[in-house]
Amino acid sequence: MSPSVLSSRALVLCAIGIALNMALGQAVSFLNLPIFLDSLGTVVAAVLCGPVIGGLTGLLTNLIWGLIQGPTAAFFAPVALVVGVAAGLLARAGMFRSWWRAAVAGVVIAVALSVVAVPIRIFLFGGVTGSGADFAVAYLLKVGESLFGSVLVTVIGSNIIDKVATAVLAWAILRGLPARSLSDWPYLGHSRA
Amino acid sequence: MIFAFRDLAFAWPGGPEVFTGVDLTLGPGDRLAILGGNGSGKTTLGRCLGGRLEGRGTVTCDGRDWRTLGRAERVAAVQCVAQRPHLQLSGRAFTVREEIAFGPENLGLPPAAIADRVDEAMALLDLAALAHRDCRRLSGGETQRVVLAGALAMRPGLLILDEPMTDLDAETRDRLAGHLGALSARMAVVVLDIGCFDWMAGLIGRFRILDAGSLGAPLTGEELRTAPLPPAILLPDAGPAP
Amino acid sequence: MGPDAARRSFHCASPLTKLALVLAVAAMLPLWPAPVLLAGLAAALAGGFLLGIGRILLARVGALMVPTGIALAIVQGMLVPRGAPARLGALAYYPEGMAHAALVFLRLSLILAAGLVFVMTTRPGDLARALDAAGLPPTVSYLLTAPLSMIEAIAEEIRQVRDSLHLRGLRGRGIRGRLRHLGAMTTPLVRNLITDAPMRAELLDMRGFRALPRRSLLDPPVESRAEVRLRRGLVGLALVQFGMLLL
Repeated sequence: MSPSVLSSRALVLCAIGIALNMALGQAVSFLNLPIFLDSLGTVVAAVLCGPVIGGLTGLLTNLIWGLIQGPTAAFFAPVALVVGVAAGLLARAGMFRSWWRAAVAGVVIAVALSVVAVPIRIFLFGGVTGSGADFAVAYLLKVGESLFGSVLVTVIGSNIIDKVATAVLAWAILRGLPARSLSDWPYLGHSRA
Repeated sequence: MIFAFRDLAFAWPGGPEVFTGVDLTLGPGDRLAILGGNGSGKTTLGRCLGGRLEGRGTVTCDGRDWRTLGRAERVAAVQCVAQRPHLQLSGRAFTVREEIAFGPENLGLPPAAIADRVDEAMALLDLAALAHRDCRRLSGGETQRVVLAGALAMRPGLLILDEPMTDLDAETRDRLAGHLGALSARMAVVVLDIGCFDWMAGLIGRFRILDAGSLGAPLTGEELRTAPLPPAILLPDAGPAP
Repeated sequence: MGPDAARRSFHCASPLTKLALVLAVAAMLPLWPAPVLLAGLAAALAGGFLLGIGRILLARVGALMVPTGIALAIVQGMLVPRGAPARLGALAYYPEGMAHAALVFLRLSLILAAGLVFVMTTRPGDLARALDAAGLPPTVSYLLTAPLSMIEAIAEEIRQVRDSLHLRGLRGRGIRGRLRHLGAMTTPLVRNLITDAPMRAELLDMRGFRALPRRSLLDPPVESRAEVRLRRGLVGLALVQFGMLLL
């Protein structure tokens, strides 16, 4: 990996992203919205620094959660990695240039993370999580959906609003950065009209 | 260590030059204040003097070209304390003692040598009582002292302080000024500030004014009071004691 | 070794040794049948009681695993068709599915218990020090500790913004109001963090971050030879089990 990808600046941003993910995930619950915002730091890091730093931010967020809370979060570290990598690649494709593009990017991220989350849920967790989402899985199984289909629908359904909100919020935050930020974060050029 | 800056100039990409033709020699025991108004470019100059920004011109340290020095040699030669001390905390430490040790640890020194430097810096800044406190839960003045101790633990030849007293109350300021007065005579100290303040009395030997991109000739405290100064520079009512 | 000595030596053990133990346990999961995993779970919980964290450990494993167990029994044992169905009174279930549910339940319980023992006896700062002492690049320990050192300040700032928004009565005005609330809470905070990041990085570099490929420590952890050997043994055990899985 070239030193410029893992510059001190990028590492500091990565640390900030992880801290944001962890702090926001707890802070927004009082709003009673189907939004966790626990990947806002990942998406922001990815749009500012690209897929490598974005992926690292997501991966480490879950691994550090694993060190604090227990191993469940660590199992889903690959999912968080995919969120960061996908956001970085979408940013390079110009998907954070306007709010509606960012919303589409949020949908793509939700679908991409499901590709990784569904196998983890099925093979490691037998398709359940011990949370309210299990009712949805049980219902879909009852009406004749396969286990894979049931979990897939549940994962996408519980993530899509959050990821769209996260992506649009990241767009709004980064759009308002002063012009000189572009020289600090050249990758941000992909997200400027 | 002797630091020589020759014909230093700096411009941001696509922008005008922030300063040009800066000539400066700094050696052990030198105490220089560079005064400039807000936006005069003194922070940028401080970053260039500290080797954190590369401008035009030549910089040598004991006759060696700055650009040929390795990263560990550079940070052992020059340390800075920036304006917002909490940004300078490493994030790698949870106690004051660990925080001060961060720099020496990065130099790969043996544990005994690190402990030596940390204890010396803590003693100088009167931090022993805070040694095991959480370094994220300190007051502004305490954080400033911890950050300064972290810089001193590197035992630099040149210490650059960018507006070190901003946001500190009068008591903390006097106390910190006392600590600055006790700094090693082997070290050169450069203070960057927006004006000449009471606490500089007895501490600073030379003053130079940064105005319109160039650095004025050295002045003593006495000369500073009578010299024509740009309006952005602040002087205390009483003026500095000689 | 008496229980007190065992407790002391486990608490003093290097985080890396404990991590190797978790790795060895993780490698057991796909390989062994339910009775072995059950024995492992019993051992982990017993270890927890020996270390004086048994009650909290049991409570945390229970809080996560009881709902998971019920959901597993329903989903894997009754809803996903697997093998021949059987009846228990009015309930139809799949015995094979129930066995599978039990296996998954034990796997999850075992790794959760082992992971929680690690988490409850290890401070992240000590893990970072152990990583530095083991000669890993300074980047690794920085990325482990720096986020933790920032969280509190960020959380505090969020709290302040939230409280001031509450005072202005911005709560509960429909979805749109709450979304706006969300933006107001996060936008200035995140922008400031991003704007300050380059300065933080510059100051970090100035303090010698990554000036050398390895860093030394003020108080390096001391390890006995026996512990180093034990750790290598545990990593070996994990590798052997992963190897057996491939055969």
